[in-house]
Amino acid sequence: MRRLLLVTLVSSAALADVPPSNASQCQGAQAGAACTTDDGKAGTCLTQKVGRLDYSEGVPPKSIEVDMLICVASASARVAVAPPYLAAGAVLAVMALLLGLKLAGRGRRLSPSS
Amino acid sequence: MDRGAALDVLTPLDAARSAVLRMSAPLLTPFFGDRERRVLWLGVGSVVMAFVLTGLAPLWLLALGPVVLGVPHLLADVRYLVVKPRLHRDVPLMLGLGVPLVAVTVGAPPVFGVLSVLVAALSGPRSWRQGLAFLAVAALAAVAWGFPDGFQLAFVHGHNLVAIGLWFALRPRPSSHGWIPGLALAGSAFILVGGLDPLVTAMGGWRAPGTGSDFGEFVVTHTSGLDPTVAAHVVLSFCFLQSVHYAMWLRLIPDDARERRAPRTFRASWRALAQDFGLPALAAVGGLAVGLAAWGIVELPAARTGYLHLATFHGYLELAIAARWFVKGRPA
Repeated sequence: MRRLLLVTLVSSAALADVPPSNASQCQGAQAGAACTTDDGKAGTCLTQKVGRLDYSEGVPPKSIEVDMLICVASASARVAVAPPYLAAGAVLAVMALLLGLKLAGRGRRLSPSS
Repeated sequence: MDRGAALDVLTPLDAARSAVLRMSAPLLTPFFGDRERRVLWLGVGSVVMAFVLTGLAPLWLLALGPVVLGVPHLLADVRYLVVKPRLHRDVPLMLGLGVPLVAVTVGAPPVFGVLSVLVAALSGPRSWRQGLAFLAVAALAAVAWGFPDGFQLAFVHGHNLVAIGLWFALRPRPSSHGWIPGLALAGSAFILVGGLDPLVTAMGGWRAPGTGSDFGEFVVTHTSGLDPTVAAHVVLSFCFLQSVHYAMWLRLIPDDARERRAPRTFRASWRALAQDFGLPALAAVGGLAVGLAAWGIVELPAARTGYLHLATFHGYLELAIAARWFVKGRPA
């Protein structure tokens, strides 16, 4: 999974190029070193062929391949990820609660008996 | 930083500008004689210049723009959205806006930034506008929470347009000013369909080793899942609109937000800036701008990255104030 834009930018600040997914955690590591993948699984840094696009001569770009250490998840590693719609629902619930509290507060202030 | 010393430095600059204006008055008066015409031509000129520079040297524009203009434009953001309307005196609002903005700047997920927009929307009077804003922000928050990567990408591109909207909504304006957002949108559309490709290719703009970055890098960080050629066009469009965004904050909004309709001297501008922020804060911001520029000389990509990290808050601040204006109306 591609990392957030700014996280990607920051983590790749020292590189001349932006690494693909699961590459930043193997930066400076040896092949075979333990690592954690972008989605939180235990893995190992392995040399992989990585495709890149070369725009130096314009569009459409040329495809080139480079060797790069990538964090590859171990076969047994698992991670529990909540579906996005559950998170979205939770956010909506919090928003509704906030709005309700605000409206209730205003209602009390506007009430003639208060 | 000493206020008197700054004024001493600016005095000869004011004299030089007065001389240039006197000499060029017959030529420039038809275009710059009053504020409406001045803003129109400055805006059109800024959009055209951004378009041409995007065609000539997009990678340099992407690399240098944030490092050179980034900090001043953040200062303008805070000045015209918070300080001038005196929102900084509303402590509960500032806390409600500030805490999520700081959180998102230090690495919290995008939904924290959206929370600041919610606070701004709810700070206005209860109305159908507030209800509509709440629904929009809630939907935005749900997307930011559930799909942070996609949201972040869309926000990075979209926030450039928010600045244009804020400028346009700043005050009642003649219909001729519609040319400025119209040209910006037309320019972006032209770039997105590949219209600028021949110029970029002819000028060798697809590569700029001196910047320490390449187009592939920007495609990875600014797009997701697009055809490689379309992705390059999206990056070019971002480059163009980012430059227009800077022009809005550094040129058009200051001209439009000023009470005095005529241009003022550099000295008067400095005095107004010092009055708004105070010299210690200006010295700190000045130090930050100079430090970032020095960092850029040594290591340009890292300086740009550092700036982008620092600036995370400002897109959400712009959106938050836009929501507040929608709910409460723009400040008088």
